[in-house]
Amino acid sequence: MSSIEHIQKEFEEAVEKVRKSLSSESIQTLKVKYLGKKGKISGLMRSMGSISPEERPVFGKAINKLRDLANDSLQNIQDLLQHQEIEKSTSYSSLDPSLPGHRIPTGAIHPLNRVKEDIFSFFTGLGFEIERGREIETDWYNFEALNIPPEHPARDMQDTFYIDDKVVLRTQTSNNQIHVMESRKPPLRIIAPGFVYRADSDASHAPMFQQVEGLVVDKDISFAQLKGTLYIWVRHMFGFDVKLRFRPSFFPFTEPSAEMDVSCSLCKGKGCRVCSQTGWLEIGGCGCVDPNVFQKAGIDAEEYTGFAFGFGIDRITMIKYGIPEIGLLTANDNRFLRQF
Amino acid sequence: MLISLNWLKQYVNINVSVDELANTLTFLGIEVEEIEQQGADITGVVAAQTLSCEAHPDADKLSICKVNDGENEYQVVCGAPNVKSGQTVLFAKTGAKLTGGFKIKKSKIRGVPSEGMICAEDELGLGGSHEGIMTLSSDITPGTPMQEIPGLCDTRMELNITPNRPDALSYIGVAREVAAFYDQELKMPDLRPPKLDAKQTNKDTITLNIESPEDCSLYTGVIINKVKVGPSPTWLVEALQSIGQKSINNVVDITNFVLLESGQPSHAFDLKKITGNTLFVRRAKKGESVLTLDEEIKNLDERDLVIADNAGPACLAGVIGGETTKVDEKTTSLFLEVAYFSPPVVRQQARRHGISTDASYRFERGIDPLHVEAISNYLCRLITDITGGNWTGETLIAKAPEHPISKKLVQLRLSRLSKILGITIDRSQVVAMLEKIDIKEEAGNDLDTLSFTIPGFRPDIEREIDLIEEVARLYNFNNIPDQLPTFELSPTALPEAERLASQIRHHLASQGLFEALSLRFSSHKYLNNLNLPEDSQLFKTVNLKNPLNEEWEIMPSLLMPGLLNAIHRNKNNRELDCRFFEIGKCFYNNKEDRTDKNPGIIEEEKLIIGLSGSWHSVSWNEKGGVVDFYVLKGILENLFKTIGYPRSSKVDFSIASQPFLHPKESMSVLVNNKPIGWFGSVHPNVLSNFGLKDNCYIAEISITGLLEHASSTPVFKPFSNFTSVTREMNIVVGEGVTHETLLSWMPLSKAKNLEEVKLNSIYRGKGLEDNTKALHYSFVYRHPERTLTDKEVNKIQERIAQELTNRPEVSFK
Repeated sequence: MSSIEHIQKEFEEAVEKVRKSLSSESIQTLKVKYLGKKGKISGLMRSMGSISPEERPVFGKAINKLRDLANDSLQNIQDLLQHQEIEKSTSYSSLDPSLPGHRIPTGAIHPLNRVKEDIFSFFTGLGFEIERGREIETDWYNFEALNIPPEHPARDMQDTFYIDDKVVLRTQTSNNQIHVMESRKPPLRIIAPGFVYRADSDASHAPMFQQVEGLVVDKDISFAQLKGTLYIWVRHMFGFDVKLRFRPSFFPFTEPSAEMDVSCSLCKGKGCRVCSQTGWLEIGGCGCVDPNVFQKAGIDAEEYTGFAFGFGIDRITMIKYGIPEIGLLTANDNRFLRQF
Repeated sequence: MLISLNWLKQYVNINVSVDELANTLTFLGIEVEEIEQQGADITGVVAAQTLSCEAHPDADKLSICKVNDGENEYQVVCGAPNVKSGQTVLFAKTGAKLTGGFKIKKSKIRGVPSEGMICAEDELGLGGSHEGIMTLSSDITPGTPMQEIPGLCDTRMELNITPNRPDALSYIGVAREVAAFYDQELKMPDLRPPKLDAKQTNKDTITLNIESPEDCSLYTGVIINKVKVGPSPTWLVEALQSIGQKSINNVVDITNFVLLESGQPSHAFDLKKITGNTLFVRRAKKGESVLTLDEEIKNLDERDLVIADNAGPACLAGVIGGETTKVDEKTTSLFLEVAYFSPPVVRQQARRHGISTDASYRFERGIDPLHVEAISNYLCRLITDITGGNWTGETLIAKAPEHPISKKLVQLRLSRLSKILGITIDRSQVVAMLEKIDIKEEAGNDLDTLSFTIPGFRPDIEREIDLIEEVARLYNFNNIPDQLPTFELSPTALPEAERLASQIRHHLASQGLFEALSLRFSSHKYLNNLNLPEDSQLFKTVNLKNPLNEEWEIMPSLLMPGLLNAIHRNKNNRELDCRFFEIGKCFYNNKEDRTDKNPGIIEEEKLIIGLSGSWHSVSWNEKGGVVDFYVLKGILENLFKTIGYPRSSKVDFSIASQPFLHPKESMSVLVNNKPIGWFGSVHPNVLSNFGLKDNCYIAEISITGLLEHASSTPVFKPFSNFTSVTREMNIVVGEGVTHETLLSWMPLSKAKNLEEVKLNSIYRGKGLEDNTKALHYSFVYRHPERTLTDKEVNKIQERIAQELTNRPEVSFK
C-alpha cells in the first residue's frame, strides 16, 4: 500500500511542478514517466502478481483509482495549457478592425426598374398578365381607337411627337388596351408598362417617361372595384397609412374618369415642399372603360364593363426615393446611380 | 382659365373660405391649380378713421392727419390730395409690411412725426392707381384687417378645365357648379335686348349668307349705330384687370367681358368698313388671304372657314378678326356677330395658323348652341348702354336646318348606373342631383329607365355613360366604397422578354455594373461619329417630324452613341470609372409592313454594356485593375452562363469587327451560328469624335436574339468522386498564333477523360524571342469511376505533345 501512496504523492508533486511551467513537452514527459508502458503506475500494475490473493482486490482498486486520478490530472493540465496558448495567441493582433472591409464591387439596378419590378410582382400576384406594347404607334391605336378623333381637343392634352402624319411616339400606354382587346376575349387582367413620349421638357416634364397601364374587363367590373384595386396597390407601394383620393377628370378612353392622388409620404399629408404644401401627390389617371373603346375593339359594351388606370412610374419612383428632378432619372450619372 | 373670386361672386353667393371653395371645385372636376390671394403678403394694414386733417406748416401738398384704428390714435403725415377728415381709410401701422416687402417705420416728414401711412391702391397690390388714398365704406369697423374687409382683396384662381367641360370655361358655368353644390341660386345677368328707341330711323341691314352650313349652323348679327368708341367704364376695366386683361376700348371690352362671363365669343365689325351689304360664312378659296388683328397675313385655302364681305375674307371664323373691318376710335356703327361654329373646323384652322384665342378655345370645345340669340340680345344691350349707340331693332339670323333648336334627350338606366359604379343610388337622389345642374327628368319613365333633357351648355353629355359620370361626379368619387373584384384564379408569369431582362439586370448589377437609362432619342451628328460606311443601314433612321432639338432628332438605331455620351459626361464630372449596362431599344424602318394599324417600324430590344476606367475599385491593400477587353469578355461569358448558355444553344465569339470598333480588338457574338451582337474596344477615331481620352469597351447584344435560345433552368450533370490528375505544359508560339488555334492543334477530342484545359498564364519577355509568347496550360484528367494512373495520363499527354512538336510554329519551354 505504501508504494501506491508514495507514487501518488510523487506524481502529485510532479504535476504541481509542471503546472507552474506548462509546456506540452513537460506534460508529455510526465505522461510517459507515470502512465507510459514503462511508467511508474504501469509498474505498480505489473507488481500485482507479487501481492497475496487476499490483498489483491483492494490493491487493484487502489491502483485503478490512482491511474484515473493521474489521467484526470494530466487532462486537466493539458486543458490548462491549451487555454493558456489560446489566451496568448489572441492577446495580440496586428489586425485593425476599424479598417474598411474589402468589398467586391457591386452595381445597382436603376430605381425606375426597381419600382417597375415591384409593380410586376404585385400585379402578377393578383393574376394580372404583363403586356409589352410598341412605342411607335399608329394614329389608330394611340388616338382613334381610344376615342380621340383627329379634331378632338383632347389631342391638345398631350404634346405629341410625330414620325409622320399617321405615326406617332405613343403618348400613353393605353395603346395596349386596344391591342389586348383586339386579340383576346374577356375576362382580361392586364398590366402594360412602357415608355411613353411627350414633346415637353423641363424640371418636372421629361420627353420620355415610363407609365404602367392596367386594364380589367369582365362582366361585372365597376368603379368601386377600380378604387379598391388601386387602394391595395398604393398601400403596397407607399405603406399601410397612405390615403388615396379621386378627383373627376377627363380621358377620352375612360368614363367616368378620375385623377388619383396619394397622401404625401414625406410629410404624411401635413404639407411640404415635395407636395407643394397640399399634402397630396398626383400619381395617375383612371376610370371605367368608355363604351366607344369597347366598340372599337369589338367587345360588347353592354355585356362587359371594365376599368383602366395609368401611373407614371417616374413620378412614383421620384416620390418613393425623394428624387427632386425627373431629368436625373435619365442622366446616367454615376453619382445618382450609385445611390440605389 | 384664370378667374377672379370677386367677379364670380356676382353670380353666386359664396359663404365659404377660399380653400374650401377650391377644394369643392376640384372635387367637382374643376381643378384649382393655383390660388393667388391679394393682400396675402401684407401685414399690419387695417381699416381706420381719419379724425382730423390739417395742412402741414412746412409743405403745401402734405396734410397732418389724426387717425383712429379702433384702439389708438395716430398722427400721420399724408401726401394724398383726396385725404379728408371723416374718411374710412386703409392704415398701415408702424411695423406694417406692404407689397414687395416694404416696411413702415416711424419717421419725421418735414419735421413732423408720422406714425404710419394711409395707403393707396398700388401700395397694397389692389390695383395700379397711386392717384390718392383708398377710401372705404364708413360701415367698416376701424381695426378690421384689410384681408377681412368684404370685397376688398380679390382672390384669383387658375382653373384647369378639361376638354369635356366647355361649360366651365365661363364665370356663369363655374358659378352654376358652385350654386348647385351649395344650394345657392345662380344669379344670371339680364339677357333681354335693349328697349327700342321709337325714333329709330336708320334701317341699315346686312344680308347674312351661310354658304357652308356644316361649318356654321347659326350666324346672328345686330347693327348698332351712333356708337361712341372710347374708354370703358371703371367697373369693366377693373373686371378685365382682375384677371390680368388689358382694356382696349369699350366695344372690344364688352365682347371680351361677355365671352368670359358666358363662354360665348362674339365679334364686332366696323359696319362702315364692310364692303357691300352681304356677309358670307364660307370656305376660303385657294389664294385668298386675310390680314388678321395680330397684324399677320394668313394665307387661306379651302380648309379655312371665313367671314367674308364682297371684298373677300374679313375674319378667320371663330378664331380671330380682321384688320380691314376692325373697330377703332373712329367707328360709329357696329355689326356685332354672335354665332355657332363647328368645333372641328375652328380647331383645325386655329392649329393650322398657329393661333389660339379665347374665342377659338371655346368654339373648338363647343359653346351652347341654344343660347346664341340670347347672348346677342345681351351684348346688344350692354353696348347700347355703355357706348350710347342705337340698335336698329332687328336681330339678323341665318340658321342652317341642322342647328339644334331644343335640348337633347338622354336615357339613363338605374341598373346600368349601379353596374358601372358598383353602388346603388336612389332614383330620387339621382334626379335631384342632376336637376341642380339643369339636367331635368322627363315625364313618362319606367322603373329602371329615366329620360333627361340635357341643356345646351353641356355638349359633352350625349350618352348614358355621360350621365353616369355626371352622377358619380356629383355624388363624389370618394363616397363610392372601395371593393375588390373577384376572379377565377389564373396563373400568370412574366413574359419571357421581361423575365430575361430582369435576370440580366440582376445578374449584371451583382457583377458590379450600374444600370443606365437613356432617353430614346439620338442624332445624325452621333451616327456620323462612328466611321460608318455611307450606305450603312444604321443611317436609315426613324426620324421625328417635330423634334425638341437637334440632339433628339431621331430614334436610335444603335445604343452606343448614347452610352458613349453618358461616359463622357461622367468623365467630365471626374467620375472616371464607368461600368454601365442598359436594356434599351433600337428602331428600324420596315416600310413594307406599314398599314393603318401597323407603323412599319421594328423595335428591337438590346442590351448594351459600356466600360471605361478602373474595374475593381482600389482597396487599401489591393491595386485596382483597369478594364480591358478580357474584362468585358468575361462579363459576357458569365452572363451567358447565368441566362442559360451554352446548355441550350451554342454560343460563339468569333473574331470580327464593326466600323466603330478597334479592328483587332473586337468580336461577334453568335448563337447557333447566327450573329446577335458584338463587343470590343471602341475605335480610337470614334473615341476622339466623342471627346473621350480613355479606352472604352462596348458590347451590344440583341435581347430578341437571345430570347430565341435562352433557357434559364440549369440541368444537373453527375460529377466524379475520384481525384483528378493534372499535367502542365508550357508552349511557346509566335504572337500570331491564337489560343484558339493552339487548342485546335491539340488532339483533344481523342484525349480520354480530359476534363479541362486551363490556361494559367501567358509570359512574354526575358528568355523568349521577340514576338513570341509562352502559354502555360494545365490539363486536368478525371475518370468517373476510378482513379486514373500516371501511366495512362502520361500516354495521352505525350500524344498531345507529339502533335504539337510536329508543328514548326511550336516549341516547349
